[in-house]
Amino acid sequence: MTENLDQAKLAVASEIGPDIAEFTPSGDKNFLVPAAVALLGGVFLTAFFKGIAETAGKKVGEALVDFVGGVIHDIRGKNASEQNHELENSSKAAAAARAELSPEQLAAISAAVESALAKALAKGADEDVASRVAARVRAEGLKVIREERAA
Amino acid sequence: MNPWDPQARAYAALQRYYVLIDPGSAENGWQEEHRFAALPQAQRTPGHWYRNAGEAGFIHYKPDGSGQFHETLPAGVDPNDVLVIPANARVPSMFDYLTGMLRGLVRTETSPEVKAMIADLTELSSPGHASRLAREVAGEGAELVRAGTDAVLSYLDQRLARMAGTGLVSSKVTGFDVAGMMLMNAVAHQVAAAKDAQETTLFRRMFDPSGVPSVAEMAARLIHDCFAQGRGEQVGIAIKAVRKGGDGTLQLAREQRPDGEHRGLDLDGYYDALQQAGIRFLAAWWGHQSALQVSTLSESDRATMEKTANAVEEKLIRVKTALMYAIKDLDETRLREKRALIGDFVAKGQLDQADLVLFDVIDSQLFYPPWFRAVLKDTASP
Repeated sequence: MTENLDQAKLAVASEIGPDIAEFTPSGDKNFLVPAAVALLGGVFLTAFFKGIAETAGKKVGEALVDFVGGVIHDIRGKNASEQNHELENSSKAAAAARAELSPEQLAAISAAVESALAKALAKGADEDVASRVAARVRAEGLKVIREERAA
Repeated sequence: MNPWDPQARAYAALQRYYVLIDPGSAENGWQEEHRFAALPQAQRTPGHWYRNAGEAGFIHYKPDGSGQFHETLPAGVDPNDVLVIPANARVPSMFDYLTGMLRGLVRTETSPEVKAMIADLTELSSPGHASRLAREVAGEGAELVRAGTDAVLSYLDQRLARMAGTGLVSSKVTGFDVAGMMLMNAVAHQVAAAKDAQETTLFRRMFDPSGVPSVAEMAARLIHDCFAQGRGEQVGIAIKAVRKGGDGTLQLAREQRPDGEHRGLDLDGYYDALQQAGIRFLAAWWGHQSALQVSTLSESDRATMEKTANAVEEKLIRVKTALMYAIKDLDETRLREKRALIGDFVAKGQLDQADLVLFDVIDSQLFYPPWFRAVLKDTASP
């Protein structure tokens, strides 16, 4: 795991912070969960990266929401090591896809993926929290993509 | 009392926790902390399973330092491996500790100030406190119903401001009392906003003292009555407004920059704001719990409410834990430990581990506000 990805995961986790229960099953009582929240930050980032790389503007609207939601669901079913592996691979794929896009296209696609992520998260969480977290995922995800490309 | 006095700060930290929910909840938390602290050091390390003697549920203190409560023991965990946290009758009650501090603070029991403070704490902790307050509110409110909706709303606004402000600080009301009043106020405003001239009936019953042993129960009855009148949507809006108020208050607490140069007093300001956020989460939680008692609730609404209730409860638990941490760290032992831990990671080049500790104590557990990151990372100053 690169340092950039670690920092991005933690930044998203900071945004989730005490709102963690918005993203966990109703019956769960979670406390003192730094590592688990950081991992969840990584899952949301993976969904963002896959949204950029694999759709690259091809999926829109509800189809994109379903795609992003599906990625989150799938990744959360994996163990921590697999989740981190998916995160690394997806960030590389997103950086590669970014090379084919103009800055304007990247801005438009990343905004669409952010919006889809917010909607997917809001299916189980408060809308405002979902939007806030999705915005942070996009900001941190774009930082990683740009740094991956520069490297 | 001089707020700079370490003893006064210590009293304020304990009192803040004592009134957050109610004295019973505070006493439980206080006893649990002491009981856990009484376990041998080797049993207080990550990786253990616990249960409190005589209580339901299990707590997993995970190897990564996180923890999770389980109502039943998961498959694969040997019941023989579960450590029992014993009941410990020798721990003084929080009430005794608080009143003892007050006596020590003023150094004379004949001081009118300390006498009044002890009297307020005694009344607050008495079994009759909640119903006395409910009768008082009911009596005051009932007289205003005839004067009209504006008079009722104005009364609720003012009563809430008084309770959430001086009432809490002077131990005249509990956080649960405030939460009940907050809900009544929010729902009453929503009902009045409908302008369908039917609110008088609801308000009259809202202030009926019969059958409700507390202000929180008055709020619960109001919510039930609203659903019975087909005003469930207005209740939902009111609870959401309270919950958003909690989120906003929490955000303000975290964004608030220190305006003084006394680290302890600046943190006190943060914990005070955290307490206010916690009471809003408590109010939202109680609102959802009250609405969940309504039998006509749709399955979809029920699932959403259960989810939201769980989310706000978790935030309330974090606030409660942070306020207890403030008590435990009055001597800054834990702060020094955290700084040493972070410094150690930085020295070894393990910056990700240092960041994880900062994330844990600032963003996840709310022990410190974000501006405190610099203090935690600064290992040079004392």
